[in-house]
Amino acid sequence: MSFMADEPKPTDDREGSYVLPRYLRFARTLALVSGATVGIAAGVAVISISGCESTCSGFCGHQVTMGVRPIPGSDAADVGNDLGGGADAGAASADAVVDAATSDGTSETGGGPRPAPLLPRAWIA
Amino acid sequence: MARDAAPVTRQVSAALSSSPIADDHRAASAALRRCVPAVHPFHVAAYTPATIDAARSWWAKMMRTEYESSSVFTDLALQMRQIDAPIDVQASTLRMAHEELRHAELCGIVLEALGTDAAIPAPPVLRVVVHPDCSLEETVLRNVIYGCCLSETVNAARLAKWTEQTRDPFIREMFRQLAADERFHAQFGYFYLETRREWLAARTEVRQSLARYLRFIFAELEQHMGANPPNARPPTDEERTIGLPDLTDTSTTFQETMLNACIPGLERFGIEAGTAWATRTSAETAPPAI
Repeated sequence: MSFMADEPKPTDDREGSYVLPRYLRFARTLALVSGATVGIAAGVAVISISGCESTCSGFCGHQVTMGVRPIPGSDAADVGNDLGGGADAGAASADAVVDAATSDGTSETGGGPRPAPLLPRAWIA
Repeated sequence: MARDAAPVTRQVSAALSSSPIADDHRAASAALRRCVPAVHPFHVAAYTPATIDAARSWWAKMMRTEYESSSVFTDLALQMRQIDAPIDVQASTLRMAHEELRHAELCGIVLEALGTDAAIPAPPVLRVVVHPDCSLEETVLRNVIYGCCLSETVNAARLAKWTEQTRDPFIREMFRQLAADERFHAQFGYFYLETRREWLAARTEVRQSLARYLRFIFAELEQHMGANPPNARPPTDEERTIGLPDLTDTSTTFQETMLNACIPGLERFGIEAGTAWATRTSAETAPPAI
């Protein structure tokens, strides 16, 4: 048996940047900033944040050497500075594990995603 | 061949091959890493045996989940290929698969520092399949939303929190290395949705289908990574120092990340994630329409 916390209330945009804990501001930035920085859909080259910068403040105040970097001034960039320190046939193959709970059924460690689960049959019918 | 031989238990080890392939792996990993690692010693004698045992157990679990998820991104890359996603999108998906393998290697380094073998029983191979009730394009979107926009965003948030709370410099550095990659894995989801914005805008039925799918996976994911373990307790000071997380806030960090990051992030693309969250259910029977 596992336990769920009482559901917290969503925080509105204005309030969010002031009262959310740092890790949530970081996550929120990851989810909300892409619209301002990606021009792929319009066929525009992405150069503002994709590997063209040799340095940035990074998630935790260290240098980022390659890849997409956080937007300067965003919470993703801000988080760390004071931290103190088979598929092609439409069906699973015989050995596929698509309902991929780990042996204890939960994952408190995180570590990486599992495959997106299929909807139950009744949902599809 | 002995027919009655005991089944072989395969092991996953962080040990590299004794060949030039290992040299190439080291060079590739160093070239692609997202932040420069800081070197800190680990002083195993600074902790009680019980704390070291708990840390070994936790990092072995972490090694397993990191290793498992590599095949998820490998399969996702194949699906990206099937829909001829832009080359940068396909390449980044493969890079994320490589990073999950490297994370397993990092976990192995921690296990060795903790004085135990960097090896775990090999878990089953997780495979990503095509969803039979939707197009391949929507299958890819489902996998990206589930894996990156939701799962990896929660993982990135928690790693940020753990990095902030961990006092041992060696362990904190490991969290920092992991977080540097997971940050992109989370953001990749929203970047990918951005590449599909016009496609989604022209397909109301797909957005509605994704919202319906969200009702199920919000509930499924909450059970998997958003429920406090039954034996959870706040960590002791020593456990907190070595980076053992406070599992009594598992549910809170999940829900707060969903409400404040994932849901508003998805709603930017016309997907009614807030309504889906409010009506989430993992019931086997089909829920009534909203």
